[in-house]
Amino acid sequence: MTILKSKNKQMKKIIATLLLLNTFTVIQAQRLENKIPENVDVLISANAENLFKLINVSDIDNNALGKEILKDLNRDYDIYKVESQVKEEGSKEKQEEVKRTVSSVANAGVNITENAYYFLTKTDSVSYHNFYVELNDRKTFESLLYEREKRKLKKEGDYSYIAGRSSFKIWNDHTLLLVNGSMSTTFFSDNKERLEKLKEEGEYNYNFKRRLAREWSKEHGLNIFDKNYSRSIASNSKFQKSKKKNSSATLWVRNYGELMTDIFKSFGNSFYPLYAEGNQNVYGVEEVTANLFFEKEDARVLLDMAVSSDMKRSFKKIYNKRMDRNLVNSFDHDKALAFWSISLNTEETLKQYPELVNKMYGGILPKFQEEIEIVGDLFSLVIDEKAIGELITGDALLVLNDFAKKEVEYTTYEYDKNYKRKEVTKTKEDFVPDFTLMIGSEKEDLLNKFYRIGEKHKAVKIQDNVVEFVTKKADLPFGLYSVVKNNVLYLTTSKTGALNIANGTTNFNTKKHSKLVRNNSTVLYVDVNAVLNKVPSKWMSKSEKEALHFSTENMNDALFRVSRMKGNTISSELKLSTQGTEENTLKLLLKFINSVAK
Amino acid sequence: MFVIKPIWYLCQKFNMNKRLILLFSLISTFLFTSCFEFVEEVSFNKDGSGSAVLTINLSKSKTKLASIMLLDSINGYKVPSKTTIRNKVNEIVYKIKRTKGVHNVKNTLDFNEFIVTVSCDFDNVEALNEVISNFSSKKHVEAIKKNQHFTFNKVKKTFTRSHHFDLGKEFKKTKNQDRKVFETATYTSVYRFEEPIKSTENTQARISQSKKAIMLHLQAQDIISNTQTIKNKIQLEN
Repeated sequence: MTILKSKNKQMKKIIATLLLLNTFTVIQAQRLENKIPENVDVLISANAENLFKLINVSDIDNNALGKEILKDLNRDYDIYKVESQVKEEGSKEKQEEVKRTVSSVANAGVNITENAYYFLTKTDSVSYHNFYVELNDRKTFESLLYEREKRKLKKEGDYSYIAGRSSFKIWNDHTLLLVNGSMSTTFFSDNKERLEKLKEEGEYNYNFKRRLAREWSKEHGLNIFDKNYSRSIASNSKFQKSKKKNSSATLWVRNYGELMTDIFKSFGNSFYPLYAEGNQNVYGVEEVTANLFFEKEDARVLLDMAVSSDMKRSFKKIYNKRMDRNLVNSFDHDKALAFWSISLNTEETLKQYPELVNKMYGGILPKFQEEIEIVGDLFSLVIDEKAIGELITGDALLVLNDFAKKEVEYTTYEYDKNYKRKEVTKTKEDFVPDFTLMIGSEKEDLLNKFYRIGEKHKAVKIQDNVVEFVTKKADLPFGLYSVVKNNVLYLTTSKTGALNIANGTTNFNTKKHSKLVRNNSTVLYVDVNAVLNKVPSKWMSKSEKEALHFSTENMNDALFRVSRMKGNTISSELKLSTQGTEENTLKLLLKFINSVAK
Repeated sequence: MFVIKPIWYLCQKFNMNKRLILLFSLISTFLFTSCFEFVEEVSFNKDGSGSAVLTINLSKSKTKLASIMLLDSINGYKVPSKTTIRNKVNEIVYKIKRTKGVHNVKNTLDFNEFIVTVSCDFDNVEALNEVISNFSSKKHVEAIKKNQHFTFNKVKKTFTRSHHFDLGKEFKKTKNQDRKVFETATYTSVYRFEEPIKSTENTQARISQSKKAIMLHLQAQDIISNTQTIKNKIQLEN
């Protein structure tokens, strides 16, 4: 009984310790977030926890990139070794330091298994780029600093700092902050007189600006270092929500439109002399977040943009279009090498245009609000949005079907026995792209009329319902054919393709990309391997062949898409799909770096 | 800026347009072999006068060139329009026409086959060297004057072909992507004389059956890597 009781007690102790540790690690992970004020403009967090679920520290150490970093960290030691031997001989302490070498990127004093953060804070005068990391070995970190930096090292209480030439570093036993400030050009020119007084004798403008930026960076660094804010990004629900599960890195922009406005403003009054007043956010985009994922088979970046409420209505109407099935089903999804699709509502775009222009121009030039409005009204009056919307529905699809072999003739020279030159014609094989462009249009009659006029003026030839463009060989290296059918205007380089469309005798596999195209407002898709396999290997250099080999072994396709509006958000995704040959795509990336570094 | 801004949201999709063109041009550069022929033919009379024809034949790459002409820029270089190219050729021809000792200048520019030729008659070899200098920039003119491209010694009956720059060095300056253009390029020279040829220093040059013509055919790669040269010293029969 007593044995059981004591075992129970032990178990409870273990569980309690584990729980405590768990909370401790959670608190640790949030620690730096408590030190970053919530009103930052841009924030990037390297999510170490998720990253190290994918790889080990040893993966980095053994990688070409890691080796370079270690080389650099250890190289300084050799220099230090030589210097110390020359300067002070016999100092035991120094000799001990000299013997230490950095064996792993995790042992450089910086705790890489904890999140690291970059954030941008702006004032009207300076932009500060800040970088926060955790330290786990202050002594090692300090010993790895460059000599010229060590000379500037100052210690105050429990923290040390270096006001360097380009950046300000400040750290204590567990945290390191780097600050780099750059001054706004506008501010400098606006306050020239006031600032002139601070200039030193004979100091050039450039150096003066840099000195001020350095001084202000130091002040800023000392102000914010290791301070816990009650309203930090840890308590900012918007940022916390933006960090998606399993993301390796997160980018958060508090208000994209405002940021862009500020950036343009800082470039100088000459750009936007009237920007002093007016709407601050003419871009219509507010919060932007991006997350990077390294999954088993896919590596992707997912970007979410929040549209401002006054622009939301317009954007929604413009993007609210699903691609017509006639376009989606007019190419072979399994054979296509690449395609680009776009689906906008033309009629709504034209209708919303005046209002949007109003908001944008009105924002930039509030003095001319009425004039801009009237231009918009006239535009609406003159343009028949509905009619144009029928001529160009807003659906467009460009497909790269294949690269076809073609015999082409070329001119070259032959010489007789007395070396007299003779012009001869020879043939060679060339690869010509076979593509199809589809444009949605409900005005078949009008288009056919155009073509008939074209035929009259000998610009085109019409046969079997297929229009052939009459072109000189030099103008277009391939033939161009057109068909108008099923509310679609087709333009293609393949005559047989055009004939098949005209006769309705196409037999395409149309399942693979159907959902993708119809559920997004634009898609760009490339079947990487299929494209690269079309290149004859004899035309490639050694390094290109190696890159091709890597690709065929590991890659599949690449995709970029922009979604329609969901609520007030537009999402965009860039995805690279692999064959899942490695444990995850981050390991594959490291493998790629290794193969390139050779 | 004011023009771009209100349309950005409409065009944010059409920005993809540029990317697609880039993709297409990259694929094109990849797939099409680049090939061009550079041919120089010079006929010399006893008195040192003669005629010359310079030909650049890009016909073998005409498919690729035709597609490049549709683009705005490639590999970081702006693609010139046909008019620009014509004007540049006319400019060079004009300069050649004004060279002392040069007559009967003719040129052809074929955009179907992508062949350009320039031909002229010259009074002496110095005039011919002047013509060559028209194709180079000002800083090279001095160097050309020092290292004559062509010399013809009427007394000794020797003819030399030389050049003033180190092609290898120049080539090292070009970017890797641009080097591809020269991969299958060739150089051909044919010199004709009124008297039979006795000997030639360049072992790659071949003398015709009639002994009155000599031809040199080299791969651009070999010239660039300095394994072959266009330089030659030809001795005619006295």
